[in-house]
Order: sequence, then C-alpha cells, then structure tokens
Amino acid sequence: MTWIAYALAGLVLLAAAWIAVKGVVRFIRTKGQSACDSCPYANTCGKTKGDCK
Amino acid sequence: MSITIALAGNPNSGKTTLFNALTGSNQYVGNWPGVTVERKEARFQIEGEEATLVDLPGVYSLSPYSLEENITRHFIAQHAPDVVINIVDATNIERNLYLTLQLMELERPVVVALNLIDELERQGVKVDCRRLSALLGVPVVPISAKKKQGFDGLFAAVYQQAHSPVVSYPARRYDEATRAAINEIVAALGGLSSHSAFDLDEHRAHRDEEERDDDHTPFAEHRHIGGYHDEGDRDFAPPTTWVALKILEGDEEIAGAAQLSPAQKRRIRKAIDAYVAHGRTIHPGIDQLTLVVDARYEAIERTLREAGFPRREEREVSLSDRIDRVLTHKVLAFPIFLLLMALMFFLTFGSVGSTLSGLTEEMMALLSDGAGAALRAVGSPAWIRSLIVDGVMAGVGGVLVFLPQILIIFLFMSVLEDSGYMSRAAFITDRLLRKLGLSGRSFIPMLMGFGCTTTAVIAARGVENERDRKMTILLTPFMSCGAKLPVYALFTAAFFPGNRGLCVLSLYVLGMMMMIAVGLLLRKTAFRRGDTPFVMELPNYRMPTVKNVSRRLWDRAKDFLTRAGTIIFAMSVVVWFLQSFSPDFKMVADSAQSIFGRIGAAIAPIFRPLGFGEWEKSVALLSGTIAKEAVVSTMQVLYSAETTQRLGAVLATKFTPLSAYAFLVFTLLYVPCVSAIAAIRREIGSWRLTLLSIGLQTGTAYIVALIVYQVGRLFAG
Repeated sequence: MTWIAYALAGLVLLAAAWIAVKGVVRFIRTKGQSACDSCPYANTCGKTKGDCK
Repeated sequence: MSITIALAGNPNSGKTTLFNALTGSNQYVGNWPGVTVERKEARFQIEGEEATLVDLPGVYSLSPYSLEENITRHFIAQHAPDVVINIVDATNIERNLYLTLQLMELERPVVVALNLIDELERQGVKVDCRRLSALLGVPVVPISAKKKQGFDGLFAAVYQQAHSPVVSYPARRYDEATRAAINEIVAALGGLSSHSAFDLDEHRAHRDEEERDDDHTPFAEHRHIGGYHDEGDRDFAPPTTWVALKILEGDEEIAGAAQLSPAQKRRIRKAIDAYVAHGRTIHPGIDQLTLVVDARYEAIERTLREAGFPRREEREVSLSDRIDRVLTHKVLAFPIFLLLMALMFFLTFGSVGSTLSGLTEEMMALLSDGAGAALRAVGSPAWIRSLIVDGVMAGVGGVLVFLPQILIIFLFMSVLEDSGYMSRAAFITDRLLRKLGLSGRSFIPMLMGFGCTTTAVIAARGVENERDRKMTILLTPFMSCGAKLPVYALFTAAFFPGNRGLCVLSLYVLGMMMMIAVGLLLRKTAFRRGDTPFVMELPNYRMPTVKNVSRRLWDRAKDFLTRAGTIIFAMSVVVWFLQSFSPDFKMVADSAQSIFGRIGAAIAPIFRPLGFGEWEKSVALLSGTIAKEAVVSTMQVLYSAETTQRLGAVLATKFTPLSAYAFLVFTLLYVPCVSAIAAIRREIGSWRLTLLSIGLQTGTAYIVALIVYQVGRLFAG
C-alpha cells in the first residue's frame, strides 16, 4: 500500500512544479498582470477585473 | 445595415445599468486601442434591426484632460456613431446636461435618456420632457434603467434618430459674446461648410504614403481627435463650429490639428482677446476656458428654467442630502469614518470572525489528523507525511482558515460601496489630504489599495497629471492590502486576543499616516508643485441589494479558494522543500541546516534590532514578497504546526507582544508583492522610480518597526 503514498507525493510535487512554472512563465509574459486572474482582493471600490488588465 | 449606438454619460448616471438592461449578458469586453480602459460592446435588436451598442467611459465633459474624456471624444468625433444615447441623471440634471451640450456640439444625433426620473419626482419635481426636448432640440425620453421602464420610447427615439437624424446646435443658445466669438473664429476658419480646419485630402494622402512606406510614425493619426486611430474610425471632419469652440476654449490639440495659417492665427487671437476682455469687464481675471464653461452653464440654467425645473435649492431636501449633512459633516465626518472602520475590524477580528474561523480551523485540523493517520496506515515514509501534512495541509489550511474573516471584511466593504458611502470616504479623506498639500484626485486609487495594491496602482491611470500619478503610485502600497489580513488575524489572535479589532485598526491608521508623511516628504523634494483642482460627485445613497453583495462575495470566495489552491499550494511545497533539504539536496533533520535555514541565517541579523532576528521569521517575510498570505503559510510549514491554533501557541514562544507588533508593522509597510512591483514598473515606466518605491517601502518599514520595538522596550523596561 506504500505505493499510494508515493503516488500522492508524486502528484503533489508535479502539481506544485506545474503551477509554479506555469505561474512564472505567465507572470513574465504578461509583465505581472496574470496575478490579477484570480485575485480576491481586486474588486473593491466598484472596480472590475477588467481594470486589472 | 447595422446601427452603431454610443452610450455616453456621467459616472454614476446609470450607464452600465442601462447597458446591461438593453443588452443582457450578450456583451463583448475589450480594450480601447493603445490604452487600457475597458471597452464594452454588445449587439441587440432595435425595432427589428441589428444594432451595436458601445459603452463609452463615464465622463463629466469632453475636454481632453483625462484618458476617459479623450476616448469618449475620439469615439464620437472620429467613429461618428449613428446615434449617441446620452444618459442623464435627472437628480443631478444641471451637471449632467453639461456633457449633453458638449455631445450636441459635435453635431451627432443625440437622444437624451433621462434616468432616475422617479427619484426626482419624489423630490416634488414634475418633468416636462416634451418641453425640455423642444428647448434642447433633441429627443428627451424619461426612463428608469434600474426598473427597465421607458425602453420602448427610447428605442423608438433611437430608431428615428438613426434613420432621420436631427442634430442640434447648442451654441445658438449661448450668450451673445460667446456666439460672436464663435462666429468670428468660424469665419477665420473659412466658413461653416469649409471644414478647412481639418484638410482630409491632405490627411488621406499622408496616411496612404505612410501605409506604402510601412512607416508607423503617428503623423496621419494626429489629425484624428485624441491622437490615435481606432478600427472603425471614419475620415470625418469635425464640425467647424465645434472646432471654433474648442479653439475659443484654448484646446491646444484641436488648434494644432487645424494647422492655421499665420493670418488665421492673428484673426483668431484678436477674437479671443476681445472675448476675454469683454468677460473681464464682468468677472475680473477670468480666463477663456472658464468663460466658455460659464456660457454652457448659463445656457443650461436658462433651458431648465424655461422647461419649468425649479432650482436645486428650491427642491425638497432629499434623503441623501439629509444623510450627508451628518456623514460628511465638517467635524463629525472623520470620527464617523473611523468608527465605521473600527466596527468593521471588530466584527471581522472579534468574536464573530474568530468563531467562524475557529470552526474552519477545527475542520482543517480534523482533515490534517485524518490525512496523517491515513498516510501512517499505508506505511508512508516520514518525508511524504511531512510533505502532505506539514507542507501542503499546514500551508494551504493555514491560509484557508481566514476565509470567513476575509469574507466578513468584504461583505462590509461591499455594503459600504453599494450604499454610496465609499465615495463619501474618499471625499472625507480627500479634504484631510488636501489640507496636507496632497492632490485629492489621488485618493480614489489609494482607497482601492485597501483591497489590492496591484489594482490600485493600475487605477492611478485616472490621475491625469503625470507627477501626481507617479506620486500616487509610490504612495499606494502604504495602504494595507487585503492579502495581509491573514497575517494580522494570526498575530492578533496569538498576542492581542482582547484587542484584535483595535490592533488591526491601528495598523490601517499607521499605514495611512505613513502614506501622508512620505507624501509630504515627496511633495517637498522630488514632486514639488501646486494643487490640482478635484471635482468629485457624491452619488445618492442606495440600499445595497442582496443579489449584488452575495454575487460579489461568491466571486471573492471562489478567487480566494483558487489562490489557496494554486499559488499558496505551490509556495507551501516550495517552502517545505527548501526547509527540508540542504544545499546539496540531502534531507535534513534540523531545518536550520536546510537551504532556507542558510538563506534565513544570512539575512536574519538585519532584523535583530527590530525584535525578530531568527531565520524562520526572516524567510517568512521573504516569501511574503511572492504573496502576503505566504508569510502565514511559510511559518505554518517552518514551525511544523498543522493548525493555526498550534502555530499561535508556537509563535507565543518565539515573539513577545512587542516584537509581534513590530513584525506586523514591518509586514504592513515593507515591499509589496511581486505582482504589485511589476505593476509599478509597468505603470511608472522607470526602473529608477520602481527601485525608489521598493527602497521607500522597505526603508520606511525598517525605520518604523525599529522605532516601535526600541521605544517600546524603553517603556516595557
């Protein structure tokens, strides 16, 4: 049953690496604007997500 | 054939409500070319005919002083829409008609949609739209955008204007002196039908030449109002009367594009000088622009009196005005503002917020314990248990437990925003800032900094003066952004359980005070200049709707969960890796020997005078530059605390209340996250100023935290 633990660890590490690499690439490509894609704080004062882009 | 309809109006006049009501969700959102202001377009049917509705930015006038005004003016002058729907807030008709007159001056077919007429009638004013329409010379249709009333009449008027356009010439209603000056300038330009001011043949020839040479110099575009070319622009010569009016106002862009001969310039200068001299016999010291503005307002007032509108001061005092007498009161306004903020923090970090967070925490603890037990049951090696439980579950869970508190604060802000109080907050604080010599215009993006620094930095585009805009960008990161809330919640629960709300309020106030202090310093050094005028409209108070507020909360909860599941998750794994492995990639038993331990040990001495000179605290601050919530998730992983409660207990042994408060002060003021830094670089366009911003933030954070800790030690003994 130990293989379940290894599979889970592999999945977690792969997912984290994928998110990190994708995030960094998108961050560089969009000059930082990708950070606004799912920002919960960006909507105050009646502004919409569009204002972020 | 499709009808192109432009939707123009003042901010807060109900433009977006009308746009959504007319088009439903069938809308396309893009950007204006060359600029980054949102552009909404939608197709819909009008009397069985295809129509495209373009929502223009909300503006008060068509003077080219702001980006939004420039875009609106360019679209109407250059794109030449078939009809312009001008939405007018009936409760503030005097101000709104100022834009109406300017739209009519461009001689496009206009339909005035008189919105909020029901609110005006509640103030005891009866509106004779037929009379007003006859006086203005364009159709005036009463509507209620919110209740979707009056749309049939609006559609009929728009259809009529699209097929049998009627344009109005408002300059005919201006005072005699203004009319005489306009006529003289028109004559100097070669007469009404000449359009010589904008020689389109020459313009086309140059453009064709440019296209052949594939040379993208903006020569041809400078003849387009606004200085840029948009897909769908027409080679449309602006009306000569309008060109004359703009020259009379002193509009340099139009005067430049008109390419006047020396003789024309002399004749026009003479006409303007005579106009100003005449004006100064009545108002000494008045300038040409103010004279034209006055002429428009005088025409508006006369039109409204003739249409039977009572003066504003003769109308019944509205509920909004009565509320404003208290909420924007000279003495009471600021204490009420602080009281509301205190209430918000009390509810968020006090018993309500902490009870809800406690429940989430218990759930997270159960999950974490369950995961640990399950991994042990399948014979998992220790490092995998550490990765899943101490890394992922502690890191992500440590941030997730603050979701209820974040939702409470956003619920509060949504209600304040929807009710119209946020505009008052900007107004109140603007008064204070202006007394300190700061531009009032800058406060709106600064207020947005309470949400997200990145958005606030981008919103500074609305500040038209370049120096003010740069200063706003430099000062905005001092406002405490929402991502710092989990750090405040964690530390206040661990060290100041009885005064959580007060402690967070003190941090917010400290942030604002530092912004004012640094602002004053910048004003006296790098950004020396006089005040700029600031006009701000206070919308009527409205009851927030459950639908609006709950939709916004749901959006934020979704975004928060996405952020926890992506960036915080990835950060937790990276932090776990860096604190579990040595520089030669061997697993270490003592995390002080890890990669993170080594990095932390190198920078920790810098923080020793501030009271938090241990490597774990230093690297937590370092990871906070990726995302501020990562300060919490990093500590959670580094201190191997599966739950926030356990982390609080560990922190109580690592900090004193004084060093904890100094840590919070440093977190409040130090360098913003990478996305905010990227936004600063992009918006400010200079690495030198970006580095100045980073230095200013971190330097201020260091000095203030140092003062807090060292002075606090004197008192604490």
